[in-house]
Amino acid sequence: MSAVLEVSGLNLVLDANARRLHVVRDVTLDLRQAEVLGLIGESGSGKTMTGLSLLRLEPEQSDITATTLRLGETDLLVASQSALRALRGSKIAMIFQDPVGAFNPAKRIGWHARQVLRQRNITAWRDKTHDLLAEVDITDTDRVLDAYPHQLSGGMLQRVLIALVLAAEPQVIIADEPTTNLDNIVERQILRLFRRLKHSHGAAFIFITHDMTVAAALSDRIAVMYAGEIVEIGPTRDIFDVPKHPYTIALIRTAQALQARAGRLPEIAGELPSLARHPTGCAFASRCPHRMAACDTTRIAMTQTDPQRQVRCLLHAPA
Amino acid sequence: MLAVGSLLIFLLLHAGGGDAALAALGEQASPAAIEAFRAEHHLNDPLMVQYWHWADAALHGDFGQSISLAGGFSTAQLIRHSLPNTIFIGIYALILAVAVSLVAGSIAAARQGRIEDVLATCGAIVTISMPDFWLGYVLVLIFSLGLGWFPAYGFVSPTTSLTGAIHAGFLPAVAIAVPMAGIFARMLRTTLLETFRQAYVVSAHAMGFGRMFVFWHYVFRNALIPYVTSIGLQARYLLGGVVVVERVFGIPGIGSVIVDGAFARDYGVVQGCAVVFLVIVIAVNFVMDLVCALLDPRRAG
Amino acid sequence: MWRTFRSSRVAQVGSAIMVFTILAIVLIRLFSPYQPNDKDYEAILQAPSLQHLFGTDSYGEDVLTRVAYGAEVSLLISFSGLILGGLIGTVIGTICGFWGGVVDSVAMRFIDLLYSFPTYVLALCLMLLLGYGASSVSLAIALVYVPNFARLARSMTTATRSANYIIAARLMGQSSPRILLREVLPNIAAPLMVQFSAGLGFGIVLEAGLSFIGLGVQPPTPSLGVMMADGKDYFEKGPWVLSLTGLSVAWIILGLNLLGDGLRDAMDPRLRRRRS
Repeated sequence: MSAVLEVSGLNLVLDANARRLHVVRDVTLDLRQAEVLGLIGESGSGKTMTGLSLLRLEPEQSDITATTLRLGETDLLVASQSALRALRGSKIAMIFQDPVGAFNPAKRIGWHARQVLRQRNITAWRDKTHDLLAEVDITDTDRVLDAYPHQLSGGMLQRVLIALVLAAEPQVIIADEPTTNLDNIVERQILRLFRRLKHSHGAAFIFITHDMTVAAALSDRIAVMYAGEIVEIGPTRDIFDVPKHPYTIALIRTAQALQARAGRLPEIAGELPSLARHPTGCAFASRCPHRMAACDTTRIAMTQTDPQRQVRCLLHAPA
Repeated sequence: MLAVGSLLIFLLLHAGGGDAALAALGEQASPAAIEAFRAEHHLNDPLMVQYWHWADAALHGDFGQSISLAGGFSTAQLIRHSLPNTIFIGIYALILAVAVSLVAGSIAAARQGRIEDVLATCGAIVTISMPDFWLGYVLVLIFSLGLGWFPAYGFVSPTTSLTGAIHAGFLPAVAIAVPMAGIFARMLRTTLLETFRQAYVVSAHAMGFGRMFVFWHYVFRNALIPYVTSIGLQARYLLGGVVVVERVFGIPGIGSVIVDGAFARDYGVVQGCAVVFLVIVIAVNFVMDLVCALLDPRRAG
Repeated sequence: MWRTFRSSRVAQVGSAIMVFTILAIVLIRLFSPYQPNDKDYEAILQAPSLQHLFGTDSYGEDVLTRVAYGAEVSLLISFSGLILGGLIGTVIGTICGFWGGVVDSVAMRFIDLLYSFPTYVLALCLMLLLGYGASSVSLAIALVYVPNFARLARSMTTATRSANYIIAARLMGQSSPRILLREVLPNIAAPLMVQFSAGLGFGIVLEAGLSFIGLGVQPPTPSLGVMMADGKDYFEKGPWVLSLTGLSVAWIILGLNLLGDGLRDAMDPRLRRRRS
């Protein structure tokens, strides 16, 4: 299986008001053809910034570095702006958390559809849009196309956005919490839609979410992020069966308790370390039940525990 | 709005107790003559009755007789003759200010933090700090007395000759427009930069749209809405500037009429002109609201 | 906030200009060999020279000395006008914003109306009513600025009214006036201060403009506007009187505007760092 997207040693440092925030640290992952990789973490763990970096849409006042950042044959680190623009949308696309905010508020939906399709050199945009929208279960195409974004619901807009993104048949789609802002029922519909699209289209997805159950339902593999780092990565089934990193264990326990409607939710004590002051050792150490002296002093590397899995924890490090 | 506004002006000027009869007839007028004048102009009635008489007449286009200006012009005549000049200069200045600010503001925002931005931002703050009437004289010093390109004084009415008016009105329009352009350009720059950060702009980039396409159709298009609103809010300053600048260049507009009226303590003239100014500002805001509704589908009904 | 204010380059330049200006005014008043009303008929309308840096006017008075005295007069007029207008406007605005209802809609209607009069027209009507002079100009500036402060204070207050800390204060049983003074005012003070510093500059322009057309401060009070009015009468023979006085006005306003901008930036850090 060849990787469509190869990332290793990705770092992103934001330059905010004279403070430097290291929001993405040493992220390494690869995305294989037609797979769904769930990227999980709490808010502020660097998921969105990782996603934006993959499209090279990181904020302007920031420094991005990586050993490898490769989409298919293209090195995204050295690609020119115009080359990147040609890739965005057509080879790698992104779906955002807030569907209402993703549309130009001054233009009708039809305008958006026309622009997207014109870029793909499709002139009979209305017919094509009809097909595209049918695929995301929208049948009253004309009403939708004539509406302004503020006149449609969030769920409807998210469907339209997904349809427009699929129009170009990109190889990689990064979906950044696409259901977080929607209510429960709509969320389930959209998730079902994603699951169907996963089979009908050959695209590979990076599905960013903070919700373990959502990730479990959709992903082939899962990467858990904490404080800008990936702390564990592996096949979904394995991770759920035998989580290795203490943070993953805590996350899964919370999710299971939620599902079982337990009276008392187990919670992870403490909070995310400040991005400006990342500890030398393990970022999770202060909240970890298995904390050892070495956790605070050594820089912890990823350990390959079996062919499919890696974890960033001294408990699993080779002795 | 207008009724309350005119009442306000009316009360303000009458509460002052300046005796219009004395002002009109002179200090030496005989008591009988004063009495006759007061009766003729309803000056002995209660204030509200006076207002009623005045407002009723005003609605029919009659602002009363100017009691001070030679020739016995009616206030309505004065306004009718001067209004086109004022509107011409106002629109002239507005066009200049909008044109300059659109270009400068866009460049500054697009090249944020770079030399163009620094120049435009510094230029804006400097021009905002210039009193417009002073600028008028400086322009005259340079372009009329120095270079002789434009007349220093006097004005050609746009009803007589449009090209003549454009030529003669250039310096006064520039004097009014320069500080306005500074304000507008800063406003545009700020809203553009705020729009740059909107989710739909990031989304548009993620779609792979071209840089200029995103700038025009996403950023500029949406930043235009607050920009137009801000122009409406500046109308009172713009027209305020017109009053003084008309004076500087000797333009026979309502600004000049109201100042002459004030000098002569001719309350009728001041009152009439003030109401006309009020109408203009309200009209400008109305037009800007219309434009906003056209630009912003969320505000259209 | 104070730290960002000090580190802002805009604020630094603004402060530098204002410190320089105030220092210059003090030094000129202390060491100038001339008095503002020293008439010297031997030296009428002299162009700027080493004896008279800004030249002399039609009475042979030293323009620079007069500017130093006039700047103080103009600043005082503008300052007192802004204080008065700011107080009245803020009181109206916070009360309307806090209580809402009929009082709010009636009062704000009135405020909007005031806001719809061109600045000079409003000022001119008031001058006509009160008679010319420095104090009337102050009142005119106040009247022009009441709606600005009222609108700003109202929108800020309405925004804070539903904020959690206000609701908490209410639930704790604090009285409304107490909440207004203790909780609302400190939270809306910052933008009002920005408005104040911006208004200070425009107040000077308004004074200058009114006096310039002869409807403001009257001679011999040496306000900047009076001096400019004086200068326009013999503009062709001695353009420096009007030009250099006006330049001083622009300079002072520039300093005030920069200070105001620095203040605003410090208040609103969101606007300082942007990504595109």
